[in-house]
Amino acid sequence: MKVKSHQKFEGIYYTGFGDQYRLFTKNIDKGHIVYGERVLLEGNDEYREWNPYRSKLAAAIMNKARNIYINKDTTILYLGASSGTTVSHVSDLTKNTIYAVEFAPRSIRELIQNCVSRENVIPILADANFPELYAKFIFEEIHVVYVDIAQPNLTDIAIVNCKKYLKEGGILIHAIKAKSIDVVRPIQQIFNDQILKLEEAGFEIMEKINLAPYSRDHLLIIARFFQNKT
Amino acid sequence: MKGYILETPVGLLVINQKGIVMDNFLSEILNDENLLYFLLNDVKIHEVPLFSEFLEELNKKKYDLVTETKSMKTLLEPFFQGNITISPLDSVFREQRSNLTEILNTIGITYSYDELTKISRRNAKRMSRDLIRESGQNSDVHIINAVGVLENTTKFINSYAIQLREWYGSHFPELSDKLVSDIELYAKIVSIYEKRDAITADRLVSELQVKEEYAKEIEIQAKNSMGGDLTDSQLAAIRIFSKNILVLVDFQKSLEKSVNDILKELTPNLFVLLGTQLTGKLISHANGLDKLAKMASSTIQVLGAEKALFRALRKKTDSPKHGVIYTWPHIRSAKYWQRGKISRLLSGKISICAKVDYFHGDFIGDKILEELEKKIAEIKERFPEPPKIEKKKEMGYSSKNKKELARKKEHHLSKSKYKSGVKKQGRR
Repeated sequence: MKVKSHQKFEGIYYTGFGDQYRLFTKNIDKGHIVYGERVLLEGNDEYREWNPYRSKLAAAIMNKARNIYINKDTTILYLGASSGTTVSHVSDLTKNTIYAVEFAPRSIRELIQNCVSRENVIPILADANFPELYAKFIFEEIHVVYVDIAQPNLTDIAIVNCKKYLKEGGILIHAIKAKSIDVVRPIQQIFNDQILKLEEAGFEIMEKINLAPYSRDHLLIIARFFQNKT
Repeated sequence: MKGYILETPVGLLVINQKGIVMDNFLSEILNDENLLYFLLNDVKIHEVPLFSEFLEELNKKKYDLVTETKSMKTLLEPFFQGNITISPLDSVFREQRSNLTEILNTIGITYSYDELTKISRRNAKRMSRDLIRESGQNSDVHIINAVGVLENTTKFINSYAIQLREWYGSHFPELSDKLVSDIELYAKIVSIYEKRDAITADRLVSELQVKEEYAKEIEIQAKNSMGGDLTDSQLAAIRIFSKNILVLVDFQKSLEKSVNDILKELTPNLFVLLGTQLTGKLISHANGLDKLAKMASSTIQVLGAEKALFRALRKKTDSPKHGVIYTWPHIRSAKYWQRGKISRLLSGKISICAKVDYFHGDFIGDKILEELEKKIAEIKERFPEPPKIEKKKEMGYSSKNKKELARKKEHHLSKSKYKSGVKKQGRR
């Protein structure tokens, strides 16, 4: 099967159509896979399959996101890196640095092992509630803040981090898991609350993508941030 | 004059609001790449001669310092005479951090993008590694794992025991769980004697320290057995299986002892109150003693019953009475209408004990256990009869629920009418 490059997004490839539609990224760390994903070989290149059930960003692309704002010149602050599933694909997409912040020692143990030869990933063990704690590792302007945390106050965390690091007009990619905020309230109400919170903090919502059927009760928000709007 | 202390991968910069470097303390000058890392994690930094020079310079110029982190403030405070404020969200930091390479250029230091990435990556990895190492030394992790293994081992032994009894039962069915209830003894008999003819009372007494009367009974049963004969190779297979079970039993015992020792030392109060298994289970469900100590007692009460709790929250029914603490003997043996009360009582005491243990307080476990038993006796005295359910149900439903019930009833009735109508039509 031959991989073709994606119509919209640079660095992303696909094969098949319909049910057989699969996303791929070109592996920068040749000979290594991260989470047991399928690999296609073509000439000298390796293409790793990007599983939308494991990665919310891939799910958003499968659900026809208009733009993900990640290309080869994007610097990313990634909160909630976990063991590095999505991080590895993002590091395939961009040549710039990814600051991967994760709070659980157990997960970052795997993240470090997974990113041994991915030179552009900086694994940071820190609490994202306090963004100043990892200021000493960041030496440039952040273009995209990607938030994928399962905490009740995840929107507050996203806002604080954007205020501290994100450039004027930068992008926030915000994955909300409704069940980690409240198990009782209706899901739509929870999403609306988070969106309101973002808008009050000076975000302009660009896109809202429901991640069903890949992740249940998840919403991926893409928003543009203006520091001086509030 | 305001001086912003900017923390960078290569060292400290003191800048003003316009991003002009006033002072610096950089690793390049010191020829130590990991300097910043040490700076933030080592208290002995002020002994570095160049750092004390840097501090003197700061004092001379009488800055109003602004720092990003608390740790930077605590580091500088003892040596700096002026004001230090913490302001992590100050826009100066964000703006100046974004053109850091240019700022470094102005003081004649050039780093390429890749070099900076490398340095930052090494610092971050080093910090993460140290913290991971620290968390690996945490004894909670060991308890959680050991308790998990212990639980699984017990499960394996139980299921193997059933299979061994079944298998050897074809040869010697009288050696049932009524005659030999202890699986260890059973496995020993199988592994030593293999054939039932070899089992004699004398050998049982001398080799396995079985009581004489009991041994005689086993011998009689062995002689009059109705089991079939097995070939040597079949018996050998059974023997290997039984030996493996014995290994597992030994392992279980030694593991239990080591977990016991750890828990006695780490959580003496909880241990007295709950015993090994339950203490370990609670810690592993809470994911660490520190988290257990921070929990409310109502959370502890339903720990391990999360599924039922969330179901109850969603459907607005009664929440579960108990989670893992159900295995506590007093709760399990109590009547169903007393269990909720007792588990509420117990979870309160657990929360007290966990807090005392976490902060290394005095030993109060025996007192609390006494108090608990007294109160449980009280509860049993006060509520000897089950509550009248019908009355309680009526009181429990709000008017809204009543309406809903009525609506459901109506719906159900109309459905049944429809069904009966269909039937009647069929009959005709």
